[in-house]
Amino acid sequence: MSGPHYPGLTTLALHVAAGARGIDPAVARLEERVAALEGGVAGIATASVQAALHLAVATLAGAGDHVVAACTLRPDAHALLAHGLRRLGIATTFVDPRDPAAWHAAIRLETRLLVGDVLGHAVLDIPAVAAIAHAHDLPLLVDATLATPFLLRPCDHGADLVVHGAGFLAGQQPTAGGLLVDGGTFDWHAAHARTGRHADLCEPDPRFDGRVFAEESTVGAFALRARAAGLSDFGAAIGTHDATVMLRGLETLGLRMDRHVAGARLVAATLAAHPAVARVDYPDLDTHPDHALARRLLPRGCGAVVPFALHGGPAAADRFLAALAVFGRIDGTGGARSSATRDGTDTIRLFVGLEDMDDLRADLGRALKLAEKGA
Amino acid sequence: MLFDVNGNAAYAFTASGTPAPDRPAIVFIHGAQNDHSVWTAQARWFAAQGHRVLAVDLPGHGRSAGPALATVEQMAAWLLGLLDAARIVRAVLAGHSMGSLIALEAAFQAPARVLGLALLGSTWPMKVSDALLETARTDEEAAIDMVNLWSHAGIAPAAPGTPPGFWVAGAARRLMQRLSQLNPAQLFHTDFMACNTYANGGNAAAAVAAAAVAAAAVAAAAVAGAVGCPTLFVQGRRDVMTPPRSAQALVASIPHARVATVDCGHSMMTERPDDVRMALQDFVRGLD
Repeated sequence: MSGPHYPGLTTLALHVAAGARGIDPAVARLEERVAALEGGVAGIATASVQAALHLAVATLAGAGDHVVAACTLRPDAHALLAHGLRRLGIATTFVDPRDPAAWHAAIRLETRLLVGDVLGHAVLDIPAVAAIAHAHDLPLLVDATLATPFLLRPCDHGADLVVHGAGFLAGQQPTAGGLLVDGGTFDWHAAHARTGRHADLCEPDPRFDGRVFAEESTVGAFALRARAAGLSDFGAAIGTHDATVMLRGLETLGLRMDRHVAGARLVAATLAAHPAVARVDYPDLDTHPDHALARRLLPRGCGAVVPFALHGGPAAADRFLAALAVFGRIDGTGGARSSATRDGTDTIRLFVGLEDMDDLRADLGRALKLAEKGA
Repeated sequence: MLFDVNGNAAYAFTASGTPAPDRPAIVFIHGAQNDHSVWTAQARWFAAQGHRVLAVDLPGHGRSAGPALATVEQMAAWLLGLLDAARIVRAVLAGHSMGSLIALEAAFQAPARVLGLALLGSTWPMKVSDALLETARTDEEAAIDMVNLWSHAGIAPAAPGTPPGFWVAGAARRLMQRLSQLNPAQLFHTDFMACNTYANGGNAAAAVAAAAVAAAAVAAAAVAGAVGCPTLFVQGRRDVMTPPRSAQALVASIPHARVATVDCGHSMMTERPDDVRMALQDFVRGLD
């Protein structure tokens, strides 16, 4: 027998072509698409929004450094900064995001970034806070999970880094995943020259053979280092399956967000008109203190979360939640199904899904009536 | 690394690596409204192979001080000054777009110092339309968005890109915006005028006599003919900024030149970093 020798079955099954890159195509596609949706330069997919936030902070700050964050961050993010990272030596000062003087006053020499969230409890005045951050040569990171790039592109308004949870991007509650996007807007080199901050990005890195990330990429130094160092160290990468689910979800992002917003508007209006309701904190309502800001930053709507409170306090809130039939009690945002939760206070947060709007209105009406009755 | 050229700080990205004495130095020259970072993929690779690399920031671009130079002739003279400051006697010059004209002109001004000439996304004359020149002058942000759209085969994410996770067209847009921010003094317009007026006496008057055009063509042919050093053209098959068809006369005027074609648009170093690197690699290897 003569002729070419072909590799055996197990060899063929294990090997890839010489030169082929070991990059998961679904993950790479997701990262680039979300970067494009945000108008940024690069994305890094992570195992969760917590992992994305952790990766961002760990890339810029180490022991002895400091973060200034909005006190409105979701509870997990708050806990990460207040407890998890504090144990590792990164301190955080929490401020009222509506108070520019508080942001200013909290910034120290050791501060490395500012962190805010765009929707949820308040609408972050991104241009104003970004101006404060940039005046101190600091980047602003925004958690835009509840807005998605369809409703708001934070980097267009001055933010430099953006994190997302999988929920609305995937359109399914159980999807695990997060995204960290480098907007490419922050000038690390100039900030380093003026203040000495961000040395990890701007000086030779002994870990990487003396590479200087800010020289290699004028606009994407953060993303380069976050991937090379942070993602590698902490390992909270996304799996192929979750990345694929998010990619599929992105295809219908605009359709779903429009419907979420329409439902949330209806829910907010229904609640606001009901005598049992004490207040509704949906920025789309003209009674909300951030209404004008929301009109400016979020012309397509204020997302799917409607926080409100009943006159009857926590007891009425519990009766209301128990009476809901269409709204479920599953944690997590972004899915097609509406849900309701109550934090420690008497504030109820409704996550408005994609159900028939008449059913949502009827469910609310019945639950409000039952909440009133028990009083 | 910073050098001193004519009293101004001149920056060049040198990547990390240990230069081997037998490998030629390679100087990378970016195009209009860009900086050294468009060459990072290629510069890092050649540095790792033992070449000394300098990916320059032209004056007024990125980290190099001083006002942007107004003509390709001045830029070429500056580049030769940088080679002096870096004590590089001879080097391979790789230029992209406007940078390719600078490389060509430097080879004309100092043929003994050029080991090889790699002209990427090149054409001559490198005409810039009046409409684009006017937009660059009056609305730089709009000009950036137009040029960025035209400079990529597509602006859709091309996953998996290089480096991983990067949206190539988005990074290119931010880079041009950053250069505006660092140098608000009409940088794009200055660069475009330099391209537009190269070898044309600086006279961009609309009513150029046919005889003058012919004379300019002869002059450029003289430049190309005088080069006499190994030359490579790298063209983007889908380049609409400097379409391969537009470069036919320039390519024909350097008969010994080789032409490599890459399936991408004008921003070839970031659109197809590996393909461009391999074309350069073959060229540089062939110089020995």
